[in-house]
Amino acid sequence: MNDADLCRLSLSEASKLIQGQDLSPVRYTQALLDRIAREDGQLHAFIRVTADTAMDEALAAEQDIRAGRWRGPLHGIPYALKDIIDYAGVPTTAQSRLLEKNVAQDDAGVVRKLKEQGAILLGKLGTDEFACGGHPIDCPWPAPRNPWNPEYVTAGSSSGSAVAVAARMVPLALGTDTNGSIRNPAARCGIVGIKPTYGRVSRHGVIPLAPTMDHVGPMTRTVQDNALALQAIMGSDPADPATMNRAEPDVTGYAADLRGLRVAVARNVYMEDPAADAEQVAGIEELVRVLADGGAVVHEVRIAGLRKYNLLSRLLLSIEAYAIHEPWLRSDPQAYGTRCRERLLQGAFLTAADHARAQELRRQYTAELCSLFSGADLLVTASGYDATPKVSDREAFLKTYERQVRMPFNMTGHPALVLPTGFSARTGMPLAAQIVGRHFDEATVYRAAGFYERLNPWHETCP
Amino acid sequence: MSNTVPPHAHGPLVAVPEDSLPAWAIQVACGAGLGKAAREYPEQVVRAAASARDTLKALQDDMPGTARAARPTWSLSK
Repeated sequence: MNDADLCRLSLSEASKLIQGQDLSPVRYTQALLDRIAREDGQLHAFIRVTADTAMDEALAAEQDIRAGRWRGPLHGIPYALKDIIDYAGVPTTAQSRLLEKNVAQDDAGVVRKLKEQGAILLGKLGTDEFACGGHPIDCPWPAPRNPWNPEYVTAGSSSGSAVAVAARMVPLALGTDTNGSIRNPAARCGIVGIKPTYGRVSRHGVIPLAPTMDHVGPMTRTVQDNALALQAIMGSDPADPATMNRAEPDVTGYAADLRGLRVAVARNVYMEDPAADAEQVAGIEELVRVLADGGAVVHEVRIAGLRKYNLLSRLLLSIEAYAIHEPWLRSDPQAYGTRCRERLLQGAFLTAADHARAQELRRQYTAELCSLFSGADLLVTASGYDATPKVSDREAFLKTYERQVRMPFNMTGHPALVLPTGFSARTGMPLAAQIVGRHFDEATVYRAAGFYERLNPWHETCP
Repeated sequence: MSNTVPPHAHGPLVAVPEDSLPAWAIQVACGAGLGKAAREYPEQVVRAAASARDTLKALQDDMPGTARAARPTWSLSK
């Protein structure tokens, strides 16, 4: 197997080879580091590559596995972190001048778990500043570029994570999702990304944006890889009270068919919008057809208040993010990039009364969205229903933030996964759909997504 | 900057008329300790206020819940 073949291995393929001692973690890590060195000058996925520590960790993994101390599917697997997640001794910059020299003192909860399981950090990944969204233009590092075509947006904010995985620089990256920031770039870059249930994965050691809607989740090329990664990072962490007292089921199981599964489809959001992209719509409909052919019982539901759900989610984000950033906005507003500063300033004009009303409305909207799962195990809908715009078309890019179905599930905390559904015949850019599950039922989300992926292996196409 | 801004009551954001919004936003920002941002990035401060106002306005019909909730029968004026 040559280096190019190694870089194309999925996490689970590499894991099996490593467990069987047919693949050296040192060789695998070196092949990926070489690819990063070759490709990242154009793609800018990485803010920092931790080559030295990666090789040390790879050597340690290799020695452990040779000595019969294999720790599990992540042992010897290289990964990378969105640069708002702490890894002790390595800077966490959040793509901001404010934190350019901020060296993490401790590991994030998810990093601690990955270290315990022998995974190997390759580096820290580009993000929109403080995970705020909006394609950074005047921040310390260049914005990551879409490996399918650098003229098109990656979306954000976990843009570096999506680019690194799609470009075969790493089989696994962690991202964060406060208003769609895992799912949007995963969709635009043709990979699998999950926002797990709120409370499933620790956020300790992760720079917050809006703590009641922040989620950490894995980004991978396949559904199976995603499930393995989530299994590795999920679980209670006393440092993040939202995760306490949660059962830790096996989310990695698969089924040969989908009999007994009840799937609700929210078609109205894209079918009743004449401007929806026909190729995105066709991809979602094909996913629904495959699930039905697999034995799922499909019925239709309506998301009537999508625009209001998205607006409220943004309002909550503005209030919570301002509470975090207010001291810096007062003392060092010039240190922020243009887009992040303007977005964060919105919270200065919202009051405690606005917050109280917003929280009350959140309860009402959450109840409305939970009712979609009455009689359904899963909800299928769009992630976004616009074609991926070019970086140069800022107006079209901003419109995609209004026309999407990601934000409601940050507000409600439901697990939500995006997966590729093909490629645009016009632009060659990836298409995607979203599968949403009941709270703490990621296993069923993976069951449906994995079934579709086995019949439609879009991940085998490389940029 | 504050010398050039006419005084405005800090009323609810959604009630601020369009033509008063720039001065209102700068004044509120200064009152919130964001004087540096208001001086160096006044246009961004105003756009941020406009964006927050537009979001509140769009949700206004659904948001009076707390305001409409039953009030206690006692009052401090008794």
